[in-house]
Amino acid sequence: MTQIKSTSISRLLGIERVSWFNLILLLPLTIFLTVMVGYPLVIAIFSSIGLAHPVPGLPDYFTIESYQAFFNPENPALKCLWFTIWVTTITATLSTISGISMALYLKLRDIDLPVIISFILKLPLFTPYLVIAFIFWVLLYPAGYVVNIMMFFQQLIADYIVLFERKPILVNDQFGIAIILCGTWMRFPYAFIIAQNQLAMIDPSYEEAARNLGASRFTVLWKIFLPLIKFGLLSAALLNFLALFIAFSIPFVLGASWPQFLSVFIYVNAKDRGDWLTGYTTAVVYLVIAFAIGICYTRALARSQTNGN
Amino acid sequence: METKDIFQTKVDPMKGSGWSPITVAIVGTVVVMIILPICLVFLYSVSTRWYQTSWWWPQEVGTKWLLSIFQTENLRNALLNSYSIAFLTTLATLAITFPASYVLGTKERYNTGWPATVVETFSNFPLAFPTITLALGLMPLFQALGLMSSYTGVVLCHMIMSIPYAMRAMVGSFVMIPPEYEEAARNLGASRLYVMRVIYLPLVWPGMLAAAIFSFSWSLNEFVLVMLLGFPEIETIPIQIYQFVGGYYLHPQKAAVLGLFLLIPGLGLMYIVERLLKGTAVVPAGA
Repeated sequence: MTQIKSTSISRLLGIERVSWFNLILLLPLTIFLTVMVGYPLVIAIFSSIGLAHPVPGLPDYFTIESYQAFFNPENPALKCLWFTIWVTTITATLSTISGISMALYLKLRDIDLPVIISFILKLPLFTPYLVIAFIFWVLLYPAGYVVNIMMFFQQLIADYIVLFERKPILVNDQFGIAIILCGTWMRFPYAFIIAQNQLAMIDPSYEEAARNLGASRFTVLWKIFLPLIKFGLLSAALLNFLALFIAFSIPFVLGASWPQFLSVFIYVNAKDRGDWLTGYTTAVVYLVIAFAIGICYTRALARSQTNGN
Repeated sequence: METKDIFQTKVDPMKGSGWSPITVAIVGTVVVMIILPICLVFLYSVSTRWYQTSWWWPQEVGTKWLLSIFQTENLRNALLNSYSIAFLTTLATLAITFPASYVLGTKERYNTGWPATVVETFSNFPLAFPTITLALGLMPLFQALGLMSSYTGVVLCHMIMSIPYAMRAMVGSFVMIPPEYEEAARNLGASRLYVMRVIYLPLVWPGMLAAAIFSFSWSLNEFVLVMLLGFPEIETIPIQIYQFVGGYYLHPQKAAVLGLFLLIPGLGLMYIVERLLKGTAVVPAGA
């Protein structure tokens, strides 16, 4: 009787042919992910629409007013979202273009980098985030090397032209200069590695054939290399975008008090101001955008792998 | 003769020119732009006197700030917390991901059904999600369970992000083991638990080591989850670095010394991963 019951439950769940041993092995991870990832996401979504009240100050009825308020053009959260997208787009573009340019140059020169240089190029990817934030903070703050070097050159040319009357603000600034520079430094190697790997997979006979037919180096690059690696590059650009878009440490240390990066805005509203509704609503919008970018990244990656590059 | 000429490969003046001065200049500039900022951490950590009028180099160097870390109780605790939390996170992550990685790594052989696919997909979710969203959702749960600002709570939340990296490293190792090993053992009457322990465990150790390194490094660097769910009772190295560069008490030298405790093990461990995984290491997302 028990066996009949368990078999019918398995069939109902669509796991009648699945080994129970496998299911038991998956159980600890499944429980952990459900409690530590699934539950918090559900709480965040439900709290933003009044269906859960884990903290005081949330509406006790179903409402989407907080989302209507979020998309009001005057809402600071929306301004922070645009600022985040703007800064992230510039950073992803700069880091991807610089990484690709270097990979293409080395490919055209037919140069294999020594192992030590390849490892050095990967260092920014493995440097702890808070250390990177610290590095760029001390580089760009008013007493840092960059500002001092800029002022030194200004003094040299002071008789001819005045570029800065006083020390420029490069960190905790309203344009996100420090975040852009830091993000570009941090993510450039990823685009380089992806471009280099994709270029290495291109059949050399394509280039030889084109060159024999009189194609210039630029034509080979534009008509052969770039079309073949475009989805790989798109996936690299999207991952670079996503990596900075969901960042917290870098904008928290290097960002301005206004406009804020979206992650910092959520932190300040929820933790410091106790405005949990704004915090949860912004967090859900943030989540949805990150999820959409994640899906685009996965698709671009799949295309790059099936493209036969 | 003419035909032969047509099919001769055209010589590209750029090809094979190797390390021309321009190439050396380009690669050299990039290498310097990567190395120099990292060197700043070392420079600031040893600068004991540095006047603004001589901004290009410190006037006095020494180990004053390094020693001060060990003499200050909360900084000493931050070091201890960071390393012990990272160690426990690693152990717990390996314990939970090893059996699941076995299932996912051998799914071509056994019918694992939709549960394995769901777990595999779901375990990668934290990689693409803003950590702050998860932290906000975890806060009420931790408060209800009494895990807020607790050591156990911090270990648990660090596992969220270390699991996807560990899974990727370990599943890859399981996939690479030829299925004949398991089949032979099973034909001779070995149970699957025995196969996991005696056949797989000794063979997948590079993947396990890489997984352990990923987990340890991630936990050591984690900032936002500790800030929201552990601080102020639990302080780690990243929290202290933030206090010295973004907080009310600015002290770049102390931040640099603390940074060394993240930087040196972080880069050293990643070098080992690079060697183990032959340059196919998982690239971290987020910042």
